[in-house]
Amino acid sequence: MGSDYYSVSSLLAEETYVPVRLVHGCTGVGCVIDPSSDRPDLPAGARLDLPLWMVPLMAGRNMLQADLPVFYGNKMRRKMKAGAGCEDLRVRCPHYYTVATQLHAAMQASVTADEDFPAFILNTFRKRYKELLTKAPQVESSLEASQIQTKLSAEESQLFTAAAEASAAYHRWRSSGDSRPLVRVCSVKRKWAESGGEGDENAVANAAG
Amino acid sequence: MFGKQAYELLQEVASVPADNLPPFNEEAFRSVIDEVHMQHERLTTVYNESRERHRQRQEEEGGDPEEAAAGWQGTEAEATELMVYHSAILRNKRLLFTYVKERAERIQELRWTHRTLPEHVKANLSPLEQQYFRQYDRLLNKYCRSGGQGVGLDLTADPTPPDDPYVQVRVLRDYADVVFSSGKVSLRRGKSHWLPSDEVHPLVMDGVLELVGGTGGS
Repeated sequence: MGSDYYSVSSLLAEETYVPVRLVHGCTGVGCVIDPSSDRPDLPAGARLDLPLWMVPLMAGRNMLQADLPVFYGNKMRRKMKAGAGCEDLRVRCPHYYTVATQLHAAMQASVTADEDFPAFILNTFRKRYKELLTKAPQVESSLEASQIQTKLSAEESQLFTAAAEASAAYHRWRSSGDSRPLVRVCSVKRKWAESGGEGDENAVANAAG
Repeated sequence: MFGKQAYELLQEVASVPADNLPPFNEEAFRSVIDEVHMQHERLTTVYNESRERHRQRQEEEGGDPEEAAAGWQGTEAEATELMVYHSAILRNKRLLFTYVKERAERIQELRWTHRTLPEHVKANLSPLEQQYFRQYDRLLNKYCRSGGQGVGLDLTADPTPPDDPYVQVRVLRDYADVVFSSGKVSLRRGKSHWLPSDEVHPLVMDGVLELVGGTGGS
């Protein structure tokens, strides 16, 4: 909560369902929170799926223990290790990273946290970020872009659009003719800043100009 | 599941592009509030029942019922039920707030980009939202006027600084003869002209002209 109280995307992310185990069971609301149950009371230790917005409040009071959903499980981790960029996150969980951070905080509160989980998420993001950043400037048609974007999570999709826009803006600037005096200034600066290896860069700058 | 209805309500707004608004869903809005009332009622009932049971137990044991300690005395399972209601109420509240705020922000944004509300949006606003737009409009007009507390500048006129005082525009539909500072131009469909950019901006917003090329900022 806090700064993103009114953020639509974080509200949408919190609708993700997470497997939990009720420590004490519950009375009255069994049919509501567990559609597969036909009795209003759930026994202690009952397993069910709850939306993420309900988890942190209850995990903090030791009423439930949260587990990692399938898309953070061991099988997924092996797949991510093999090739993070190939996984289709949009189908599995469109707000992959937001859910991960919130869920981990909730699991830490109920002392069921998985130590390797943050490292796994960070590595996944790093690999996928690098990949989408190299792909974004090379995209030529909107069809190609949307094909790549179908595999990205909502957060990555934003980064992808930003990267594509930035590279388009750069190309516009390069071709508009305004860039010439600036490029010359840049090359002069480089001569001052570094003594070695300026040959290649000057060649590039001249080619651009 | 609790909160489902409010979630769908928010999705109605989230799924349309930023310069448009779906109709204000009064019916769903009210039924979410009803849901919250129901949850609150259940919450207080469960809580009071449990307190009552605790008080009776203490009486049977011969203790002083008035001495009952403050705080929760029921079973853990009942506490879990209370938390389900509690978190659902908070969630519903947050969803409704965001629904209203998201709409208000879009209305505000339209004032900056379109000056007036487009007809298809205007029809979808609730009376309160229309009032909000009128008052916001008045405030911004007052701020843009010269004298008093105003800055004397139409801030919505051109959001991006122009590279060139003149821009090339194409005329999209037949329009009257217009006098620009560069001279009189008769705007006929399909023609293109070089015109002062700050003067064509209102016509571009009305859809009479279209900017050609990347200059002038689109």
